[in-house]
Amino acid sequence: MERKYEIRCPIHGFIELNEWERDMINQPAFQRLRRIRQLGLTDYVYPGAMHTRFEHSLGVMHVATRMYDSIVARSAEVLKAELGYNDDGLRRDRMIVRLAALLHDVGHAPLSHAAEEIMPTKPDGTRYKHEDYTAAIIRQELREVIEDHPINANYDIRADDIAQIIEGRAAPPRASRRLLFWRRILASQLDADRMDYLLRDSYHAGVRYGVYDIDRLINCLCAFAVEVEGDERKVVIGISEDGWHAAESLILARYYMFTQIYYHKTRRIYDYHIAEAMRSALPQQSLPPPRKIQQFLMYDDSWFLNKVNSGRAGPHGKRIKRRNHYRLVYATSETPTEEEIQRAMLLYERVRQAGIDEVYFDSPEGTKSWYNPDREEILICRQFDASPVPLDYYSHPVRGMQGIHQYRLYVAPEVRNEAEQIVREATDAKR
Amino acid sequence: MRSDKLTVGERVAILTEVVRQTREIGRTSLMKMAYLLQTVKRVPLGYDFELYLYGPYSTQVLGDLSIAAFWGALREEYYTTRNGYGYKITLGCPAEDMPQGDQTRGSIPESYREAVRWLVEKFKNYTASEMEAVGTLVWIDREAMGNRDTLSMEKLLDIAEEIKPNFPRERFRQLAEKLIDEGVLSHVQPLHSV
Repeated sequence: MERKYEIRCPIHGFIELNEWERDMINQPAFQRLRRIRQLGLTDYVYPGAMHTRFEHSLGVMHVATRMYDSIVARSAEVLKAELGYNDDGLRRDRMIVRLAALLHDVGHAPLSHAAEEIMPTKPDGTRYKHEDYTAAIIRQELREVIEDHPINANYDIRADDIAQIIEGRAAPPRASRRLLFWRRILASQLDADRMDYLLRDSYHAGVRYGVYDIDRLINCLCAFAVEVEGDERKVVIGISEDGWHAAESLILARYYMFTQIYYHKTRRIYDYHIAEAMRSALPQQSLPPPRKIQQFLMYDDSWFLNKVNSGRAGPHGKRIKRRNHYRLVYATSETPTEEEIQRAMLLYERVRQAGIDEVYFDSPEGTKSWYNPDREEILICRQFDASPVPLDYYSHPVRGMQGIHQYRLYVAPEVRNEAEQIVREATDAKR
Repeated sequence: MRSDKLTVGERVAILTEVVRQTREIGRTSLMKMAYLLQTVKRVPLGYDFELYLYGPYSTQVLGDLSIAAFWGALREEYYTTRNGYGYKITLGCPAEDMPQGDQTRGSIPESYREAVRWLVEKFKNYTASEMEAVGTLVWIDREAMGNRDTLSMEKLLDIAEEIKPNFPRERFRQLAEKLIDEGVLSHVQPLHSV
């Protein structure tokens, strides 16, 4: 009989593990997550926000498992009919989802998303993402503990299966639309990642914005088959009608957390300082690519903070050490018109023309999608009608919600008065 | 510091241009058009696409669509069918009636308009299902490119069929051959090659 272990979590109570998962967690590549903060330097604004990717990863595994079990309990017949599952197949893929959820963040760089600006570019010119590093770590550093563990004799799971569900690839070795289906548990507007970090970030920051009814939401998850715009039938994950308010609460929680925490004006400028400081501290001014994964794994928050503390992270490192960040001198509304956007760009140019070099123009074009409450339909399965409807149909607040694409202009505190004068003059001239 | 990606106004303008040229389009087709514009015609939309069961997908496209509706540039109507649902997207109010004036007209380079014209000309008569199939084929081709690999036609079709098992293989083949002839798929060996 498999031995079970338990870890205490302030958000979910007890998180259960088997011996395989425990051995995976004990690998150096996973233990490194204890030294990667979940929210970068958000503690400069909310001092309690010191939690790490380690406990978040355990939480995501826990939530993903609950979601999987709930969907199977409510919709086993749909899964069998549409995806050809039998009980063994469901059992195996449950394990894949659990392991993918556990390992989904192992590829994060120091201070999490702040460092994504200095990931190197791929041959096609796009930048690597942490998911690329995660997949490389799974395939290289964790392959042995995944494939050769005694418990895997019951599942025959390959490292590529786990990497593939994280990457969302189409190609073999085991191209599987089942994995593409379950990937929604890890990457969608209703995913386990989001469900955990909203509660966890809210708890550690000491706010209530991220609180929503997770138990109700999970209990109302289901899978159903639907035709979209006359296309062939597909199986999707949605919410039963009696749970739509719980889904609404998640969307609202994310919106509030985004505006109050993730997109906080001071937190944003520290992301910039972190990226620039890291650029100064790194040998090639960027992180090593995924093919040099062992080099990459040497970098964690301890490495970075040591560089900052010892004055080897450039002028931005100095600002971080002294909490002497650039200050906000202008911001558009959260959902600006094109005219507002043009005005913000003009102000940026004027500040630059005035000889102010220590300036940062924060635009949403440089913002990764995880920050933004992007639209995605959450489908509600109606009790008396075969056709699902999007959550927008039920919820007025969700229907009216827009993505935040605010533009902000920051300057060094030493030139703040001068910059504010420029902004005032430009604003007065407009009147 | 300004990103070299398009602004939200420019992206909305491009999506609006697609709708202007097609007159009416569904969400699925618009999503795949955006994918092809970015991937095939190299318009720097900056969207992060992922592979879902319905082909390449980006929540950012829906975000921009929402902004376009908010600005009045586009209108989106939801409808239900017997076994599902869909969205119909049309142009919003005329430019002169927009509260802030036309925020989208004239704000994209002619080369991007030309890219949209090319796309609409090639795919305007495709159903949502066929657009998904095209998007899926291009995605697989680009994955092969990333792996410095070349796929045989049968391998391409095997992978495509795994993702969309209810789409006829023979239709996948026809689409793939057409895309190869037009240079859209570059990492697939056509059947007639030696």
